[in-house]
Amino acid sequence: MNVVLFIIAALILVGALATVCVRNLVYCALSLAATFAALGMLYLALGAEFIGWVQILVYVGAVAVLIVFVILLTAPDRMRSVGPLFSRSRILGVGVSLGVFGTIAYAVHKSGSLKGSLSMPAETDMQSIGEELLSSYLVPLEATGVLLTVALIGAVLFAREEPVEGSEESQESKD
Amino acid sequence: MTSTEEVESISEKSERLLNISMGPQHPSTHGVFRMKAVLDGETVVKLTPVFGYLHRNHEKLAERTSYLGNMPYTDRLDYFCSLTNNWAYALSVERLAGIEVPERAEYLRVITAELTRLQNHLAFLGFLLNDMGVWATVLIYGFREREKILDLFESLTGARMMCNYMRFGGCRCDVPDGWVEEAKRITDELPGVLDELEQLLTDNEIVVARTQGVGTVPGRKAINAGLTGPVLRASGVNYDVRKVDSYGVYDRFDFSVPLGSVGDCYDRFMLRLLEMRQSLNILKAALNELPSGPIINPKAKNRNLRPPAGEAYGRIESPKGELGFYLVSDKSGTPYRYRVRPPSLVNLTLLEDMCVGQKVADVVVILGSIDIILGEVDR
Amino acid sequence: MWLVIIQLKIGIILTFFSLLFAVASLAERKILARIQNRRGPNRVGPCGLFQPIADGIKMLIKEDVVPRKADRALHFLAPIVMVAPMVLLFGILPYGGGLTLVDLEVGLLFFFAVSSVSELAVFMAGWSSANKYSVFGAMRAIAQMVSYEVPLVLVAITPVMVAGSLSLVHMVEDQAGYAIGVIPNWFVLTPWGIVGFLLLFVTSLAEANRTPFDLPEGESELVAGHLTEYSGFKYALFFMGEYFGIFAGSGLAVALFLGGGGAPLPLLQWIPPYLWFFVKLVVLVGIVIWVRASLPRMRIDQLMDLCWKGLVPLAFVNLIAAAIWHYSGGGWQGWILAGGLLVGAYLMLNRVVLRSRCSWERKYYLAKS
Repeated sequence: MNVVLFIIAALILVGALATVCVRNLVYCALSLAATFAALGMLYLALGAEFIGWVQILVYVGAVAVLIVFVILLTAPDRMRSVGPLFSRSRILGVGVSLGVFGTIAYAVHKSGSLKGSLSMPAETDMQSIGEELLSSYLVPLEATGVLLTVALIGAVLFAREEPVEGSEESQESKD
Repeated sequence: MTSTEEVESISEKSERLLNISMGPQHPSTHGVFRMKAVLDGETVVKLTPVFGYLHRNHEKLAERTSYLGNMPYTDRLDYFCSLTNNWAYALSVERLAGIEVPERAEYLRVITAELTRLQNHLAFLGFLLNDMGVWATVLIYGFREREKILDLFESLTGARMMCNYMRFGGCRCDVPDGWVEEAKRITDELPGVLDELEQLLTDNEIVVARTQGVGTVPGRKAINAGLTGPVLRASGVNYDVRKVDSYGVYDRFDFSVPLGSVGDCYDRFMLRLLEMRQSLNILKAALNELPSGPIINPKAKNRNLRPPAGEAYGRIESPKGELGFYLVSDKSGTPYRYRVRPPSLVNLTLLEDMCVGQKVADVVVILGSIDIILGEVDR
Repeated sequence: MWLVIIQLKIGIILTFFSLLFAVASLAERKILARIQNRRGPNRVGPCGLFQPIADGIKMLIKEDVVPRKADRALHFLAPIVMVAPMVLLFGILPYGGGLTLVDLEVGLLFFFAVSSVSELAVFMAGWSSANKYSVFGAMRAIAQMVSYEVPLVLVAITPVMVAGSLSLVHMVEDQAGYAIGVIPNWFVLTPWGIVGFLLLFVTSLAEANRTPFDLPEGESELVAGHLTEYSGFKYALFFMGEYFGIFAGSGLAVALFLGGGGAPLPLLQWIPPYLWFFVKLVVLVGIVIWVRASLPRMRIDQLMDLCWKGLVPLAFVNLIAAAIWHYSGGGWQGWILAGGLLVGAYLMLNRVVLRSRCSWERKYYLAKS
């Protein structure tokens, strides 16, 4: 089991590094998709079937495809390269990501889940996820629904001014 | 129509526009035709037709060949309708040299011309639907019927497509035994086939959606651009050379000219169907009334024809529009000037106007609805 | 032992679908030919039966042409990414009778998650070919597949709601048994089931890029779309992926609405369920081929209109209709309520939203002179 987890972790790392380091926009997007897929595999390996497949469906099937679509639409000429890997403007980016990483690492460390053995929760099945979603988490669920609807309408409104990119905008918001 | 400067300024400003070259090798340009299209997403912003890939020096060749020697060359203009090409050329030479045509020959010419129109329109329907993405179903239905007509041509002239049938002052050979009966049988069968095609196509929701409101040409614009044939009549202009000139013996037949109202691809497509019914009326009457007599004016000189100096223009209603031959004679054995007015080329002039603002997929349908043959466009 | 059985099952399923691919590629040409008054391939073997073998050999030995400017790696990977997920899909189809490979609790989710990966393959194929037609085709394909996934998922949710499970096996079990002793309890024999089945069929046609939704490779305008620069075995792989997509989509329709391996009559229950499953699947594939022979292609804006203004609202209404049916307990009240709702929604969508921009009726004047 551990070996599988390490292989997946390695995949995720390689994919993420490739996303940032590769100088070809399309390769970046595809590495991102691979990273998402590996993340889905991680969930599956940990026994979270539902989340795992949702991860693949939403991130690989929709988000990555949209990123790719946007690349196709916006930068046909610049697709092959996106400037040098190291430049001064990257310093800010490195700072921000280090900050985010630090915060998360601190939170994980604080929560204590790294100490002691991690107890596997009982197998969750679809039924209980559904019941939880529609009982305890009903309000957040509905709020998310409203938010997405607002985003959808907003996207359509934006698209109105630019009829050409309209159809793609409205698809973007379905996620 | 968007002016050229305007389009160029757009293409300089925006990176969104995509230049795409449809043809000369492309599945649906009906030969070696090329369209340089500028696309904004799926919408056509600009479209430039490029032709000449099939140029074979037809007119200049004709000026170095004897009058009779040109007859087989005319077969190769619109290679789907060699008989009407023959007729238009024969008509202008007859005008130039003042040759009379016997009655039986005139009837044979009408019969072969209307058969040509039928087979051309049948093939047209198939190709148009192919351009819309039917996997050759309608095309092969059309070709099944066209084949019977080509068999008729073969038994009459010896060739299926390159007929070389007309001569100055008549036709090359008389009908073989049983030909008229066979032709009658086919003309009696065709209305059923047309019913079938009409039933399959005219109410098909996707065909309607793909053709209605696509590539609309108003009547006035069509006249100004010099369009002729079904493309012009689809815009509601009543102009048919068979009625206007009554060349041959067309004034003896009772037929009407179908006219559209909107001038879009659907009208152009429907007009062909309706025209085929009218052709069948003419054919039926002509086959019944076919008089006996000589098939060629015995006084007409075909070989070594040296018409008196002068000029003549003969035009007929070919399946694609007004096909004209303009000839100038200097009393020698070859035409001094030989000029073809090809309906396919002239009908193409409005292609950009029809296509701008439409989707890429419409371009193909519009081109198909004009019904061009590259052999005639490029000559 | 357990491993051997699993491998046997995998072997049977893969062999069956590979054979079906060969047969279907021949049957498609034969059926098309018959519809078009032709004979179809009839040179290789008796009645052209060995045509698929000849095709396969030809595809294998054909030169693999890669454009000079193409991205070789992606150009090579794309067909693999296309076929691999499609093969995975066969793993969860509920063939019944012990042939079912895996009964995944989230089977339906797996189906959509895995099949959505093929969109990336289409993009890779289109972009890596360095051809404008390819990129154009890939853009169309992605737009189309992303859009049609919405009604597809919405429609597939209805049986989930009624059966109360995402497992395809469970869903087939839910459709077992016969009403009044003869009529099977298939979902397709309910008002929401009919609509759902038709919607599913139409959307899976679009997902598989089949006529009348074959715009991505619409040969009359885009030459061959994202497949323009593919030849030889890579092209064959794409072809295979597309066919596998059709098989899997048909299998999903069979499982969700046509009762999986259930026999249509109690009398016929002695025939093993997987045979019934395959019979239904093959019939659906036949209909797909029939549609190809008889319909023209739609245009991109019409395609999007149909999806967002027609199929998506109808799928939502279908969801409500299924709920009404479920809570009214079936029976005639259910038929009236759910059926009325669906018919009303259909008519309204047809009249108001999808009304054709042009008049259907045209007048033609016959000029006498």
